[in-house]
Amino acid sequence: MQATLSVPATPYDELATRKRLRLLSEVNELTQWHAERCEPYRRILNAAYGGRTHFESLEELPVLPTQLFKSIDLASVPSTEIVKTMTSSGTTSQRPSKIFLDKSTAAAQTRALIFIMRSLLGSKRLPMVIIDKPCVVNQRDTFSAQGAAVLGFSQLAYDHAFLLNNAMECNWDALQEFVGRHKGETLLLFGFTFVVWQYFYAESLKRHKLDFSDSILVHGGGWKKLNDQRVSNKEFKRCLQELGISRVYDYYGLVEQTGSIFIECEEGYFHAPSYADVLVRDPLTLAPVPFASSGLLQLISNIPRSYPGHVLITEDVGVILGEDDCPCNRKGKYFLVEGRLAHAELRGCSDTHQERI
Amino acid sequence: MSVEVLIPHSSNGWKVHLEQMENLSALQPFAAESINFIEAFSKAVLTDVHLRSFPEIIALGHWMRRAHILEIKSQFNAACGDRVFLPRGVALHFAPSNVDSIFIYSWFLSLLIGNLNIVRLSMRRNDQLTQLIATLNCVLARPEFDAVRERSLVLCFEHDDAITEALSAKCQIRVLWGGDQAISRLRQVPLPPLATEVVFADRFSFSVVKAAAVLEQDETGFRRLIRNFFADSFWFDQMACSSPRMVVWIGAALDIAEAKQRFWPALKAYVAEHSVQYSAAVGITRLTTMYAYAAEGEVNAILSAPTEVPARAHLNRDASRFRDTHCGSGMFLEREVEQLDDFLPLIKPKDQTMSVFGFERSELQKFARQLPNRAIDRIVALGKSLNFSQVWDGVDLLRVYSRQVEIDV
Repeated sequence: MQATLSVPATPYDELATRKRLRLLSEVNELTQWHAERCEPYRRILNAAYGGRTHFESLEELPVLPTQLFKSIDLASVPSTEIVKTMTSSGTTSQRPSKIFLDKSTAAAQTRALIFIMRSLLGSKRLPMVIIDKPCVVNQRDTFSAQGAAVLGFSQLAYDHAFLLNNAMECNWDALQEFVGRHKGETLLLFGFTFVVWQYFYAESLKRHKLDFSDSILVHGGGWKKLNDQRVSNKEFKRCLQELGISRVYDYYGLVEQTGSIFIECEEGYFHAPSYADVLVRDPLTLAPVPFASSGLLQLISNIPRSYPGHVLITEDVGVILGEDDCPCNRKGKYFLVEGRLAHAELRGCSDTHQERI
Repeated sequence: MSVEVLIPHSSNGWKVHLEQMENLSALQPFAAESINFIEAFSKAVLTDVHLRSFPEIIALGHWMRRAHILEIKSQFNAACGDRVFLPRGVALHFAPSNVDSIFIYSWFLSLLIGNLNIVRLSMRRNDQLTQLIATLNCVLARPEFDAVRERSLVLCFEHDDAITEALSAKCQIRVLWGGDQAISRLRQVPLPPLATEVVFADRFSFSVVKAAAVLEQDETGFRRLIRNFFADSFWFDQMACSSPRMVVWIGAALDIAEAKQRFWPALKAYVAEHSVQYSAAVGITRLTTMYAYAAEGEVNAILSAPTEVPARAHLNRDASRFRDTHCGSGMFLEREVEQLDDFLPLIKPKDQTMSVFGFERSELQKFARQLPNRAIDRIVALGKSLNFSQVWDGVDLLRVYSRQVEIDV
């Protein structure tokens, strides 16, 4: 059996009823696919779901916690077919998540990302400033989440420059030259939220003003560090718009579901594309909660085929505001991410939860 | 790197205290000032309204009562006969984080033998620990306890090999309590040639329950069983080495099925009554742990929602690796065997405390004699898993904290 990979070129057109049916059947097929190829996954289905692979609604789907990819290796293809292993930074006591990609899953990720971004940027490739250091993409077959995002996004560009060197120092002169060379064009700036703020925005205040009019900034990676500095999304946007960057988009996504990311719309909400969906669950009971209630985000993606990461419960807390009726005109669910679950400490004498005794 | 001196209450740095200690002699075994100090501290703890709300602290308070300490003394003296035992000198204790009372047991047994004591606590501190330290300082400030105060030093610092080395250089015995990684790291730090070391690493514990005995209980006996099991598993969030994390049911399949049906709902209700609540993050960790067990083939059925307490999963026949990654917080792994002896092949070296229900002492003695290498250091009645005993992990602490002077005349 071949699990179908549907990657429609228009990510925000489908209405709820149709999307639910389509996605459910795709994801049921994926569950079956992984159950046949990934023994550890099959054992989980056996132990927790009585071996079922077919489910009647998105809410019922068997869901893996994202933490699980930090504790065990899960792959649905032979190791010879793995072309890339992506890792996420874990906390110091944990090993990082490991995500195994084969050629077709990697290609599907790229396609989804490109379709999502084209709906924002148009189909023309743009000159791109990567607000990061070159070594983030240097490794060949192991990628950090950061590296994967940089590589993915750079496929939307025809010329690119890194703003930072490997020592995280700003090369403003090179930027100035790059901006000059592409005068009159729309620039795409891309980077991690915190890096953009700390290395790009902070540096720009000390420097001669550059002309960023008409530029687009896409950034992601979370707000924890900026919230610690009491910088809100609104403040962040205002500051960058002062530099002339007219459009600023945050995005939300998991390394476990690269490609089918959630882009912030003009109204300030993350949007589920056709390739993905989001549910919210009660943090304690994991029961689904209605729209407008906060809870843990469960993310569904029709892309992962080389590892069973198609239905995941995250430790991110968020709220769905509606479906198909966002004033930005995109269809699909739209939501906000409010933060992460606080990790309470357990007592005890084992190392399991501890970095130190 | 910073080292905080928690005890004694003073503004001097730890190095000053360390130097002062070097010039002091050890006390006599079971010296009056040691016993009096422990008694005074016991009284202070048991009358403290704040500390009284922590059952494990109450247990500690009772353990320290004069009558109990004198019992320990007479047992020790009886075992020694006319042989001469002396303190070793300076004992350096590394306490486990978060099992708050262990450092006191370790320190006080060593004090009773007469040693000078240095205790390292982890950086983690909660209310009851802060309160315990304050009470200790308050009691130690009394002039009659000068001798004990001068011979005690409790420090708090991030793991730092240089500090550990400086402290280790001054000790005659190093006592390590903690997780396996921490212990491995600490053991790298050299000890003086004449010093020795005793190690209490991470262990695994479980309950063994005779199904027929559960079914025989009247309402009172059954309530007691549930209360005891609850205390054993939940006082330290199931994270103490001796907290039961697995339940082994013994008996005929039908009895076991019926006993489980009586046991688990009652425990669940008891847990709810005692408003045990874990954070959502703990629930997710439990879910992850259970799924990892399932993925690795350790567990073949998850019997409750993993986010529920108690959370239950059924072990595969040959499962054994689950011992290393158990996350505590109310997760129980179950297995069944017909006879107690059938369980022998499933025991591993990491197993420490076996808390039992429904067995005769003689049955257990016969069972204990057949135990494999290193496995099982304690067999206790359910309800006593967390009771501290001066024989721990098979080591008689008073003996190991002391040295015997042989007199062959």
